[in-house]
Amino acid sequence: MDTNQDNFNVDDLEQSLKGDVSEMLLAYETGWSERGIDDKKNFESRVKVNVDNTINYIKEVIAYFRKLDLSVNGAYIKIERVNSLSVIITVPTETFMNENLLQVYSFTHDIQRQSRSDDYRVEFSITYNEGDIDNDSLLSDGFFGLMKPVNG
Amino acid sequence: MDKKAHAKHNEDACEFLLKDGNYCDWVVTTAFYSALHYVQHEIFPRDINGKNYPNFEKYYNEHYAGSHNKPNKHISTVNIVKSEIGDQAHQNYEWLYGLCMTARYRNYKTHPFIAVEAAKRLQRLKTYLKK
Repeated sequence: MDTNQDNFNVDDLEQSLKGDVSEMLLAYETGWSERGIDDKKNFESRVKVNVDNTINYIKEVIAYFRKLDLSVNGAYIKIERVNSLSVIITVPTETFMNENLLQVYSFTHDIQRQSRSDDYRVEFSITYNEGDIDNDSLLSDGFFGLMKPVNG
Repeated sequence: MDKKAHAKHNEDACEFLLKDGNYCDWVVTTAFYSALHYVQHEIFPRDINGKNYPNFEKYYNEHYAGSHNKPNKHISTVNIVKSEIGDQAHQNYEWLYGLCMTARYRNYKTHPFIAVEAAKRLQRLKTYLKK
C-alpha cells in the first residue's frame, strides 16, 4: 500500500479507496485462517505473561511510593496491544502536590526503559483521585481498576 | 507557527485563562501543550545515536522504523525529554502530561490550586531549557 503520497487520481478517489479496503480485508481474512487456533492460544499466553509482569511492576511502584511516605489510592490497567500495556496510578491530592512525587517519575521511567522490548512495553501515568474518579469513563477507555479507590 | 512561537502562544493562553479563574481544566491543557512545544523546540534539531533529526516528526518516523512496539508520540516525547534534557525537566513534564491526559477521568473538574501549580510547573520546566 502506498504511503502518504499524493500520487492518486483525485477524480477516481472513490474507486481507489474501495480497492485498498478490499485488499486489506482480504489480507486480514487470509491471515486469520492461516494463523489458526495455535496463534490464538499464543496470543492469550502472551497477554497473560505481560499482565502478570505489569502487576509485579505496579507492586514495585507502590512499594516505592511507600518508601517515600506517599500514598496511592488506585491503580488501573489497560491492554493497549498484546505487547503494550498502560497503567494509571491514582493518588490523593496532597500526594499529587508533594514535591517527592517527582522522584516516582524517574522510578517508573527506569522500569519502562529497562523492561522495554518487542514483546513488552508498559507506560505509567500518575494522577489524583479524591474519590470521585469516573470509573465508567476509565472502563470505556479500556482501563480496569485493580484496587477499590478510597477517599484520599 | 514554529515550535517556540506555538509554545509561547499556548503559554499566553494559559496565563490568560489562569487570570480569568473559570477555566482551570484549560489552564492544565494549555500548560501541557506549551510544555510539549517548548521541549520539542529545545531538543530539535539534534543528533541522536549518530543520526541527525531536524524535528520531532522526522525523529518519530525514522527512529522507530522496524520496531514492533512503537510508543505513541506523547510517550516518545516524554522519553526524549528524559534522555536529551534531563531528570528534572522530565519529572515536571511528566507531571503535566499525566495531569492533562487523565482530566477526562475527573470529568474535567480541576481545582484552582492544581491549575496554579500546573502553570508553575511549566515555568519551572522552562528553567531547565536553554533555547
